[in-house]
Amino acid sequence: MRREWDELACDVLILGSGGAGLMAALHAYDTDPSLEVVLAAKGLVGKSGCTRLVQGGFNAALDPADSPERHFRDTLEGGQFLNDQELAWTLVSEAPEVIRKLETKVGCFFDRREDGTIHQKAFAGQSFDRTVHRGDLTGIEIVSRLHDQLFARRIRVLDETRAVDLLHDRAGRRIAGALLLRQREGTFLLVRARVVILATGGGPRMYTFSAPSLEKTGDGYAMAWRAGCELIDMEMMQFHPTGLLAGASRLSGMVLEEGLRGAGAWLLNARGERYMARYDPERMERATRDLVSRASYLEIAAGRGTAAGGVLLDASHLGAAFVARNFPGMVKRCAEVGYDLTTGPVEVTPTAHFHMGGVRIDVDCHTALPGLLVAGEDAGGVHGANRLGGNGVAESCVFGARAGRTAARARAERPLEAPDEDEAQRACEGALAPLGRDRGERSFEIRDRLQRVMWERVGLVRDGGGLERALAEIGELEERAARAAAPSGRRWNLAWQHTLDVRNLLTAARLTATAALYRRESRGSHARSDFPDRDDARWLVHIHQAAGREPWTEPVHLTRLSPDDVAGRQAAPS
Amino acid sequence: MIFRVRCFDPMTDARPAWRRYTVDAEPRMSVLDALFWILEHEDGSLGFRYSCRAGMCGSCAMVVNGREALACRLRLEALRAPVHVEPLRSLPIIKDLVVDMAPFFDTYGAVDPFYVGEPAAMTGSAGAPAVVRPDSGARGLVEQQVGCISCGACYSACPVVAGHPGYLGPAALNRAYVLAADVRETAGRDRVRLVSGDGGVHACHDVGSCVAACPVDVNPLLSIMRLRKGAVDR
Amino acid sequence: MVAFAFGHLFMMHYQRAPSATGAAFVAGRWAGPAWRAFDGVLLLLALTHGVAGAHGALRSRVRPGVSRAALDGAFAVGLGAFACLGVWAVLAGPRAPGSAPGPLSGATWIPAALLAGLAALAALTYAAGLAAAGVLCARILRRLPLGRWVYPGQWAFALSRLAGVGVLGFLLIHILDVALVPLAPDLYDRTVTGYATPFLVPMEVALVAAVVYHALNGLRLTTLEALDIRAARAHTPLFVLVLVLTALLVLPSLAVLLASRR
Repeated sequence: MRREWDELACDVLILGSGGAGLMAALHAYDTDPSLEVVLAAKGLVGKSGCTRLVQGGFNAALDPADSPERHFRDTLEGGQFLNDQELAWTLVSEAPEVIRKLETKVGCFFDRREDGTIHQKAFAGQSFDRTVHRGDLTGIEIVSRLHDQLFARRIRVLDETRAVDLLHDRAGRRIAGALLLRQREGTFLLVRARVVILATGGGPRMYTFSAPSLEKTGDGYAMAWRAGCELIDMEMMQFHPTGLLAGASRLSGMVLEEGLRGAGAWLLNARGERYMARYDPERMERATRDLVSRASYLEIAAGRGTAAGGVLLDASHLGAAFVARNFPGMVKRCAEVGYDLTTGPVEVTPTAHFHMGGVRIDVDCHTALPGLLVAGEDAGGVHGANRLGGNGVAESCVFGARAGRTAARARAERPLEAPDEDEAQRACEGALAPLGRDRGERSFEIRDRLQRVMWERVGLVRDGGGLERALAEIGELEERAARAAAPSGRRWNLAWQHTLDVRNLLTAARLTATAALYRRESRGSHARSDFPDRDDARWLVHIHQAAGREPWTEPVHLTRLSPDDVAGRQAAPS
Repeated sequence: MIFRVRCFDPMTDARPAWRRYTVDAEPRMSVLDALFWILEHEDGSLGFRYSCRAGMCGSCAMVVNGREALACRLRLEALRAPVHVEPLRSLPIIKDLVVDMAPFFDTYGAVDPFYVGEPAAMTGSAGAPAVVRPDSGARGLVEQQVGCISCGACYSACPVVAGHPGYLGPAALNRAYVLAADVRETAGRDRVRLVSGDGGVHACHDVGSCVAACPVDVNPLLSIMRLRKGAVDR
Repeated sequence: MVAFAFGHLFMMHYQRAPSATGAAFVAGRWAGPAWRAFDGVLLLLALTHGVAGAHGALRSRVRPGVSRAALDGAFAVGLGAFACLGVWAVLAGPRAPGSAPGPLSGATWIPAALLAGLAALAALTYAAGLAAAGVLCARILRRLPLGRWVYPGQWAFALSRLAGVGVLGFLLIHILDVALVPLAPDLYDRTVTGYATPFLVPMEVALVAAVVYHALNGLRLTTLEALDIRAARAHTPLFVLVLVLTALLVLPSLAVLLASRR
């Protein structure tokens, strides 16, 4: 087969245009404006991605009465001490500066207090009200203003251009670029770059109910895996407790922000009980997401859920005017599917929301592969076993900025290598294989089955037998996916793109299930009914996975804080 | 529920044509859900754009029963069948309901839509965020107008965009206003002058379709009126 | 300009039918300087406004450079020519009673040409109106979307443009026919009575409606601009009000017109 791609060379290739990708682009360019920076996104740049969906806010220790140390402690306690402490420290110590930059250089305007200083609201699991926000639509403000900044710089933007695979140099030792696929024309683009920043935003869409944007299909994890990266903590999958239940609509799973619970909203089962009293009587609905989600799941599993299989979120007692004023976006979304958030309960379900696991990085976003940096949700370790609300967009922005600076500095050290064209050719052929196949099922059914399997067996509560069956079924689904077919025609072929999505989703699912089976304890978001207790003695470790090796563990380095230092809440599922 | 979708592949078709589909409509489904239903059950070649499905990204803006809307936020229960679905107007069609947003973003870029901090580069240190009391009125209309998600609905609905080549359009002009009226920007750009030339604020004929079309309650016409008066609330 | 235009309209279409405004009537009006000044000012205001509007609408569709310069030039020349002709007619005024019939008397091709022009315009307008109504009805009956016409603002804008073009077209012809007052009063009379043919009656009504609607809508927009945020929700209700007022104000002129034919 002939080589059929266009070519492009640049200094920095950024894959993904959420908070991490955009911050990386701006920082790389501003560090060295002579750089050729290319920003490619699977959807429209500045519109696709999950940073836009952030409602609640961005945690930063801005208040003089607050401190990064306190934020760090909250983050570690929330993460059940599985966090990589250097990464977590980087997050909390740089978050305040990032907020200042977003305000004074990017032009974001966050909500203010009466006295004109930035308002910070209460969020679950934190010892201080430090969540910076803009109404209940913080993400739109951050991403829109970051996107606007692109117009002031000479950065090349590739819309609707997905990455198919990372490419090594001919010696196979470092990353030399990537093979991209332009969705509009269906043609390939081989990009040569000194540095590739992977910021595709992971995203757990392999569950029946999930929150991320629809284009999130674990592309980053799958590509990193195939390229030979190390991935850690893949079993740590955060479920957000309040995903909207909207019947057969894809809107189901969309998150109703944590601030509702932070402001005092109640969670009720079908009997009208505030069931959190049985799971965490002290913090009730304001306990961390892992606890609340699991509690809801257990209530539903015990038959105390609503007819549609959910629970009820009720903010009406806070006052209709209060709710309407503080959560206008949510009120509207609920109204559109027939709920009135201001005066009555809304049906919700736990929803797969954020993947704490990902590619292993250091504080400068380096990976084990020279030439590859990873930032944002694609990276693992910052949040440990459970992410605090408000720390996600903070991670994307802080590490996106660092990746950009690292990439700019690397230009002097890193030559522009020629990518391995055989590798590119294989990736090309693999991607084209389903197109126009005569026989073969469509990938939509494979996706539906995967989502069901993951929800039931690799979801909020897991056990060894279920995980093994899940892995077996994932194997079968992978075989089916390899034989899947899509109608012919390269241009804007959604069915074809979806077969590629499903392959990546299956890889991410496999990594998750494998790690879940390996970790024989319960910690944070990972709950095993056959190993219900947290076991620091044996399991204060990261579970690593890399292609060609069996999973292995490495201890968590308690460089700054240990579980003994804090009278921590050793939360276990009931 | 009967759907008629305006399909067109410029590479293979002579002109756009309506294609009829019967969708299994269930409660709470949106137009976007219906399009997915068609893709997965009836026509694997249907082309449309999507991302967040929650009304926040603006990717799925299109014309439904004659009005611009976000497909993910329009519930089928609120629509009269047969439901006519067309791509956004005034933009070149890539395939079926997917339009080329480049001309739209060109107009957006033409007003220098970026905040200019001092210093502007991301690498320098950042000063303290401005102290702005919420009751001081300093933000004025900006709060209401800054929520634009650049979906293109207003651009599509505006007859001046359709008839006046070079007109910047409601979204771009709205953005220009928001920046011109932002008290924090001290870089002193004469943003009003940037949008007062040919194809700028004076080309607007106060039609108001942009206001009706906007899915996030921004009022671009108001921004244009303010720019015309040079009254930028500082 | 609104005041002047409404005043003129009132006198020509409400106080009496247009067919009663022959050369003798004009001579009576233009006996003193006040009405001449009135008509002169009205002429310049309306002509400039109309030409500016038409020029603005066309200019954006013409490529910058030579084509645009040519367009600008053509409009400037046209504006100058019609303004001069009109102002000259006002200054020259009616012929003194008992003086010679006028240099162009007997050039009966002039009223014929003017009437033919108007008739052609009328035919075009009627045909276009029926076609548009037909398309609209067909789309509604077949449940097809109406395009941008689903928005009331689109109607307001389109009707205003249509009205403006119509009034401008009429104004240019009107300047030509009023120029006959000093040049050939008998031909002027012939023209005025010619306008009253049944075929052109709907155009007379349409003219009144156009002036009234265009003016009221213009006032609506001016008010909305002045009030901006305070009137943000009033755009459509005010448009409805404009339509209602237009209909109400046109009725008396229609009555006057029909009465004059009995």
